[in-house]
Amino acid sequence: MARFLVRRLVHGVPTVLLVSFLVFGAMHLAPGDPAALLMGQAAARPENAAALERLRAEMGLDKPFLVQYVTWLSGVLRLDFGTSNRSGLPVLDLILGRLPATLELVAAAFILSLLLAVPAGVIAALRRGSMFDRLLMIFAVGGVAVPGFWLGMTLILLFAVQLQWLPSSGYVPFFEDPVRNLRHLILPAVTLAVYLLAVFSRFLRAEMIETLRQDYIRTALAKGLSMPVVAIRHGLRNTLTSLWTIMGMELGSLLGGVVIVEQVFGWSGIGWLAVQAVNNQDYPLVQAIVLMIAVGFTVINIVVDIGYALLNPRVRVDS
Amino acid sequence: MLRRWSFILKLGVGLLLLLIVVFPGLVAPHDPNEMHIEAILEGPSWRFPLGTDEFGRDLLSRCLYGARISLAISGVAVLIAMIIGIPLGLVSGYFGGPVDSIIMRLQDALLSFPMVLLAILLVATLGSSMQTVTVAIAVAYIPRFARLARAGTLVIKEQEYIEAARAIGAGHLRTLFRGILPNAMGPLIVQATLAVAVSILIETGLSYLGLGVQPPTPSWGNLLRSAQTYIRIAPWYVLSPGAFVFATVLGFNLLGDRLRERLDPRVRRALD
Repeated sequence: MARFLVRRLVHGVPTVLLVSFLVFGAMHLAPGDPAALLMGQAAARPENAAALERLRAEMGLDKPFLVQYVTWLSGVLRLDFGTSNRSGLPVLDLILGRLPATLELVAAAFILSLLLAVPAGVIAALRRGSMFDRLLMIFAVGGVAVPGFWLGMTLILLFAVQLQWLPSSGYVPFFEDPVRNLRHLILPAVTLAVYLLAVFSRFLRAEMIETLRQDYIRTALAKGLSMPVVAIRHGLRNTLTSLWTIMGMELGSLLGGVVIVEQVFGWSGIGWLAVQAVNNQDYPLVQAIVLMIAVGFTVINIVVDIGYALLNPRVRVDS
Repeated sequence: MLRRWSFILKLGVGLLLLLIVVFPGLVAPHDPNEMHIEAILEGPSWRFPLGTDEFGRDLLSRCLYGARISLAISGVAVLIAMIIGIPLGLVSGYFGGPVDSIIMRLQDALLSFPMVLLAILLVATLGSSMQTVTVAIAVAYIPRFARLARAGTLVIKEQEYIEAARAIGAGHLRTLFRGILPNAMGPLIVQATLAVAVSILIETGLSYLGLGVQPPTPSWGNLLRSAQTYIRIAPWYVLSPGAFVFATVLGFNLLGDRLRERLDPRVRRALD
């Protein structure tokens, strides 16, 4: 197990380095001189040419590409992502300020979808071909095809504009006003959860059907245990290990979806910040957000792999 | 018999849709950019079946023309990804060793970016345009096609007929493209169909964020972006472009699932 752990972690290092190189390289190709952007209007005046050169040297922009990369990377490793060229604030502070909103939304969507997907998938597998099963499969096919931002707007139309049960947009920090925070959370969380629910329930149903065909299930039934008990105690436990991997994989689409859904609901999280940063040509901020999400995603997938090995002894033995 | 009729019906609907996408002018009742100032934000009527937008432009016509943009971007992007990704995967799986390690590490890094984030990175660098969105989707899908092609190659290269081809003197290139590729194509075609569906969602998503296709060129995404401003007074404006996206993505997903049943040997075996 220790060897598996070490190997998986070592495997992740070159990937993370390459990710950082790609992010830095892409931003390096961006049009415009970062020093001139920072200086603003004044940079265009000829009498400021010398000052601009000094600023460029100060920012290290006159150094070769690789030197700039290494300098930037060593800053990143010390959690110094530079300053936003729009607000002048440290990029890290801006991101940390928005992080709780995004984490709350992602967690809510995950929890909501799992709470519904697990029972739905199990029931559909046990009652194959029933009305419930057929409706769930129609939902699963539709749920992955519906564009999140359109679903979000439709929910706003129904629950905020027509029925006026819930607010249409905005974000209130949880510790400021928990009730309002949750009221604002419902629609965006449901929007994100629909896709996950579709993926998870369809997957769980298929896995459950496969698991229930196994010999040990027949043995458990032959011992006299009832089907629901067997399904939950023996079937579900084996299915959940595979679901764990799918959850890791779907996190990527969730992180993409959250960018769009935050925009629909004016939920001021990381995704909302990223879109603003692109529109403001705030390169250090875009760089940091993309890097943090990509590295975070890689690290979480390593954790998922390790968790899978812990859950499933066969993986440990094979490796 | 019923199956055959249902197939012909689906084929007919598919061809009809293709015709509309290529020649939206045939069915669109109005010019998509023609403004009718007497009919601003009007609800659905005989004259404007899906209503009008904030400039009095016909929404049905804009949705139909938007289809061409969204599908063209997705189609071209997936094609580029296949043209680059599949040979990479073939070479990687066939030769193995350090070539394989280098190609696969690069793919791993690309796969670490959630697709929308990769697109945002490229839009920030290259500016928002149709070309950038196309490139972004293509780059996101290159590793996905490469992996699938590599997996197929690893299995197929051990087959006897490949050994036979090598024995009678077929070179590496011939073996790869005449021996392995045709046999690895099934899952790749399935993946391509599903990739078009996801690409449409990404493209419309980016255009909705204002990072993709720019107005006045109609795209489903930027239609919805403008629609959100008028959600309280013109709900039909929000509903119609999204319904087009939903129906198209659903169609490609169903097609992909059906193709998987036919072309993917693993699924076919399981179904038999």
